Amino acid sequence: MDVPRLFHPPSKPFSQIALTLVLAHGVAWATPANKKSAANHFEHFLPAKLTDCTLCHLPSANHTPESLEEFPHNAFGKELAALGKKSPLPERLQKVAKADSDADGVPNLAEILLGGHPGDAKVKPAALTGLPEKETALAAFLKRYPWEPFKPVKRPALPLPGVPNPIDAFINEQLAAHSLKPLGEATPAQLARRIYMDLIGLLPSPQQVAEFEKAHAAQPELAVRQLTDRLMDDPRHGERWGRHFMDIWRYSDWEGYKGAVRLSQPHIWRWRDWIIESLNANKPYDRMVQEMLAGDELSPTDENAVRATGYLARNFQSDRLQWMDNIVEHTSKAFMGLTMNCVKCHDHKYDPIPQADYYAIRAVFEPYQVRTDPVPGQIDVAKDGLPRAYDKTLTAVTYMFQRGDERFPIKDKPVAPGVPAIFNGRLEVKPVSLPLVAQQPEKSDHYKAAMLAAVESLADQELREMKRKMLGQQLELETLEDKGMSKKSEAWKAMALQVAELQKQTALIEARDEKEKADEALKKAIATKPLTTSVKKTIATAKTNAAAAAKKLAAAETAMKAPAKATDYKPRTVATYPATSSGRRLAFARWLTSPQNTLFARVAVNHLWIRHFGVGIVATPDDFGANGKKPTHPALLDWLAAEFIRSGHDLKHMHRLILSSAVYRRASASGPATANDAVDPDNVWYWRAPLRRMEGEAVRDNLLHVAGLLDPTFGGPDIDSATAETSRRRSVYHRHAQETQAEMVQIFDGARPNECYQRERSIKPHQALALANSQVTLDASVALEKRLTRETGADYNAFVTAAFGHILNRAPKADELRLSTAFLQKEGRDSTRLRQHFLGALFNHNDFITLR
Amino acid sequence: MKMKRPGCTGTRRQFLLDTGMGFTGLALNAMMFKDGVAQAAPSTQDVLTAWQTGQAKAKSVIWMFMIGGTSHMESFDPKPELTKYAGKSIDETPYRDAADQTKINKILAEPGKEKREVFKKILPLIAGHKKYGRSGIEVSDLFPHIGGVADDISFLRGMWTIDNNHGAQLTFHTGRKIGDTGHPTVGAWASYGLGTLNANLPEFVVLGEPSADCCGRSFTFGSAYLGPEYGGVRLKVDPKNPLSFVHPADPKLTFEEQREAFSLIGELNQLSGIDYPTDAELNARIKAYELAFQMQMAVPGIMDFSKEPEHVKRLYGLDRKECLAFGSQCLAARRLVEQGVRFVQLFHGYSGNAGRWDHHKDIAKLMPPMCAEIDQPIAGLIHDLKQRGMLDETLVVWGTEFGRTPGAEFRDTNVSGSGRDHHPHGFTCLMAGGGTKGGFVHGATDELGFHAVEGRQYVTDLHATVLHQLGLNHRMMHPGRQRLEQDFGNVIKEVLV
Repeated sequence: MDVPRLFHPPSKPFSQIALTLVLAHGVAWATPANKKSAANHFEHFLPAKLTDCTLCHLPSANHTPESLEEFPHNAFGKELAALGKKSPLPERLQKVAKADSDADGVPNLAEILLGGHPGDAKVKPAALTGLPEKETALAAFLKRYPWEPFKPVKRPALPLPGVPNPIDAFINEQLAAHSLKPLGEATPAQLARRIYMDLIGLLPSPQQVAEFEKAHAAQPELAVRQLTDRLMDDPRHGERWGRHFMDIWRYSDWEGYKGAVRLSQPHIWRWRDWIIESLNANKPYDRMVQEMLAGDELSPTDENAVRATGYLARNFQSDRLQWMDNIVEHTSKAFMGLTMNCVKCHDHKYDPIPQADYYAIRAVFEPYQVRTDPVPGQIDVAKDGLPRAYDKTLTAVTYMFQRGDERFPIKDKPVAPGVPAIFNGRLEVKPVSLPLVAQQPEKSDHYKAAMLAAVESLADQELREMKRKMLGQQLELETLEDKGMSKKSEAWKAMALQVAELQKQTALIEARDEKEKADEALKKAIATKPLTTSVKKTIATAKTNAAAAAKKLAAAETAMKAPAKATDYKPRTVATYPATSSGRRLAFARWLTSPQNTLFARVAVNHLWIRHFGVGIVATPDDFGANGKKPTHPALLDWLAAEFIRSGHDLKHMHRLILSSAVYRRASASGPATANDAVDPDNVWYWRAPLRRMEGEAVRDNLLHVAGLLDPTFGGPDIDSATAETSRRRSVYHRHAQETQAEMVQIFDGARPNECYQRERSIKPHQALALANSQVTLDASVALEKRLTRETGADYNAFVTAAFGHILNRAPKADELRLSTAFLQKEGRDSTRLRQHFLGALFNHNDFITLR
Repeated sequence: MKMKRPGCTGTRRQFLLDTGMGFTGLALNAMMFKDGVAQAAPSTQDVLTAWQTGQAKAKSVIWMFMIGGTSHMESFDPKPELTKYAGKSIDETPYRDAADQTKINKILAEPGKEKREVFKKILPLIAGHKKYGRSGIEVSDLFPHIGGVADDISFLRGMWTIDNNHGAQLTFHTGRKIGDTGHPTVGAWASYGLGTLNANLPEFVVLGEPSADCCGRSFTFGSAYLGPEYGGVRLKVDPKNPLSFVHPADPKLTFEEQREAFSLIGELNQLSGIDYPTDAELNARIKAYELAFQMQMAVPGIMDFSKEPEHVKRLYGLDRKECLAFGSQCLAARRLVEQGVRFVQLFHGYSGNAGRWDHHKDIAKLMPPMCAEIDQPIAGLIHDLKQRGMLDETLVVWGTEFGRTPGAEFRDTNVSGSGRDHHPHGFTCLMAGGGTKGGFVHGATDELGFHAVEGRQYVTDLHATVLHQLGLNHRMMHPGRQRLEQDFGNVIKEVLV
């Protein structure tokens, strides 16, 4: 590979920048295998001043460097380089570990571990104390479970025997290794709150908490399992997890000015409903992804499955280039955990992905376009329809762009659809021939039925009857034609003649009706007073219309005079799409969801983990490459991935597994800080359960839910997000696009429609205002006050206790009870308002939005 | 002063110490505010953060950003040679070296990706220019008001940037390219380094519609790894609705009732905090409620100009339809700074994509009205700050993501030579007040306005200068984060008094 030449910086400040870039990314210009390899190898054993670059290279005094060659090797680097690049770096490091490259009396490895410099005689550790311990530690570190995301998932052996849940075996191993003492179990009430929130996104009622506490006291394991199963059967489970997957899959309602669609598609909510329904049905995850990428090729006549291609329809953008960029970038991030966007212009700087891979994936999507098919009961796709993907141009060619610049396609080398080379995969692309209704959706039975139904709503009885007859015969003829009836046959001629006759008669009645209407309008216009300019305009238009109608009627009447001929028959014009689909997406989807894509299951289980623990085993769920964060528990991630594959990509099985683990059920707080806080303040090793905060949707949903105001209606068209303050529907059903989102949801870090692989968790004053001042909080406080006052009467303690139970799922402590009842008993005040304000304050309590 | 994170100590006592300052004293603060007394920050200003140098020249910054790329030649770096050689190719002028493609490519950080065609056919200036003030600095006729205060302004004519497309909007605020979103903006560094002067208001306020999604959006005022409390807080210049949910849904709710409710929230949260002394988020939440309550009262007042004298409003052009929007932002900025806000970031020219200053075509028709929108407001702001004695401690910065090409753009038939393309190789920014020189020119582009040839300054040099004047070490770091040399920039000493 060529070493790219740097640019000539024109002046000094710039030169400093250039130098920094070289130092920061120097090794990135070496062979891909070497990128970051020293840092990866030593990780925290490499002192800060020994970077990937300075370990082997000398700094240069040249402030206008032109290439890496101006940063020559130091003594250590020379020795390492002399071993050649054939063997992997760890092996070569091993060979020079005991050597003393800079001849300062301290061996190379000792210098690295103790803070010297293996290639610089001037920098060496003062003494060799502590070396054996460091070497032992390094050796143990190097023997850790390897993180090899590009190698197939193998099921690791459980590190500890006798642990009931395999997840805990991996977690406990690390806890022990870091001398951390895990906390005990959360209270049953806390646990119930977590499980309800995690599985259906809605808080339990005090009664539901009490039931769980009772069951838990008898048989804790069983209680958790039963609650888990019950909630996963609840249709609201799909709404909860649907929203999670909508983040990852970039759900967005359509956006545009007036009628022009700029992003996504109208009626894309059908894909949202498909997501929710599929999760509730526990459709295997791999099948879900296959349907999203190629439902139209997989089951072309199954409109339910075709809904899934909303994933592709959502990527619609008026700029095709951006569209293709997005589909490649986000399909890669969502299902491979790879950042492919940079690869559009150059080979990946960190991961083993050449530029060509980008175009191979783009070629998979090159033929596809978006259309809207009619849905049952509606012939006007503007009113309702099914936005979906289909292959429009089977011959679509993909070219690589020089440095990603679309103005310079490399025309002599078209790119075939494929998969990233690192996976050694091949696509078995087989064209799919499509059934008639997939080619001509307006020939579906439901469309024909809708046409006939539309006839029944005509006002003119004569027209209605004529049209019913005509349409019935016409559709019959059409069906026969599609079944192969020859247009030369006598039978066809006879039928066509009949239909033509009926069409003529229908046209006459229609023309007559139209004429009547036009005349009426003209009369009305002429009668309008006063005669303003706009009225004059109306009259002129009405006159034109009336004349046109008269002409049309005359033509229809003339036509009636001649006997009908079979050739007069006017067949229906129906939208017609290709009879074949390229099969590229289906082949790709099958590969993508297979174990050959070594990242598919790993990325998926990591996403599940994030939604149960607030943070991923890999903290960068969209980047499993070298530039992403390393997994905290690589063996656990692999085990979960293996189990996911073994279970047939069964999502509910994975939830069950995670929720039954001890780490999930752990307490989240220890009171005053312990030794654990000192060793692991960020809780990397899960000695406690992480604290989480409700997402924006959950905040709004639970305000309504706790107050008994939530409308349980399931699915359907998106609801204007401007009504989010007064609507009672679940937030997942509100319009969600770049420019239109429910404001409260957005303030609580709602998903950015264009990219949201995990939610942020900010703390802003805007959130306080939203929760304190919102109409939803007010309505919830008023409704809950009515109910609790009815239930508890004049008993202040009972009122406060019930309020804590409903909103925070716990009982008040003595001082909280005192403070709260004092608030309610302020003298000379309206007791109802005080109670409402108290409930409002509880809705603003940090413990309402926090999952402890 | 930054408060200690409670997680560091994690005792009951520490938790109460950390949060106790807020709601127990809230009632009093609220009363004081109602009486017109702004609440002083609870911190002791004589305690310096690790980054404060003790040499602050400015207390606050008003940072104005023009979205889309304002032509430098038609604003603050007039180039008569363009008119002289109008219609000729750059190759036919004595300055043909400027358009040397290899030279151009070497300047951009990623030359391959950012390569744009060089348009050589020279477009004449669309407006005249003249000398202003004692300094005699030349300013385009499109900016007569700013010309009028040229003696208070430093003109930085040697700016350059690394992105040839509108991702440069993000670059202008972080020094990084558009794909590199994980870096704090200059306002966030200021907020992080300084802390607040007024607990009623955020330290870092954003006015106007920010850059669109294409070009950085919230990252142009983001705080990245510094933490959410240091990011810009968006406010609207609308006393009725200056921020979302500023008014309680219940119209009958009295001030007293709301104060009680907020107090109760604070007290309940504190009681809960006794059980969770290591929960830093609870602590932050309590503080967010305090700030929210204060902001709710303070912000509508600041955005309500009814008490401003008419002559002051006229100064900002509020009586002129074209100046009303940006003039209001400028006046609001002054009022925020007056109340101790550290960093006010103003956006002008939002269009939903690249920005309204992006004059690829019809520049002669489209640019003058836009200049009229900002000319009087900016001059008015400088004038107003000066007459109030605030200019010395308020640093005003005017910038845009890049300049525009000397050549006319012929990218497609739609454009047809009536506008100018993006130009990162040389453009102009302005600084006024806050210890910078007035009537001063630093840096220069060549005769065509093509390359910055003298006093070349990268965008982060502006950041460094701003932070330096605020009394901060511009090489501030955040634990566990790396910054490149490029991110720090260099203080532009030449423009300092």
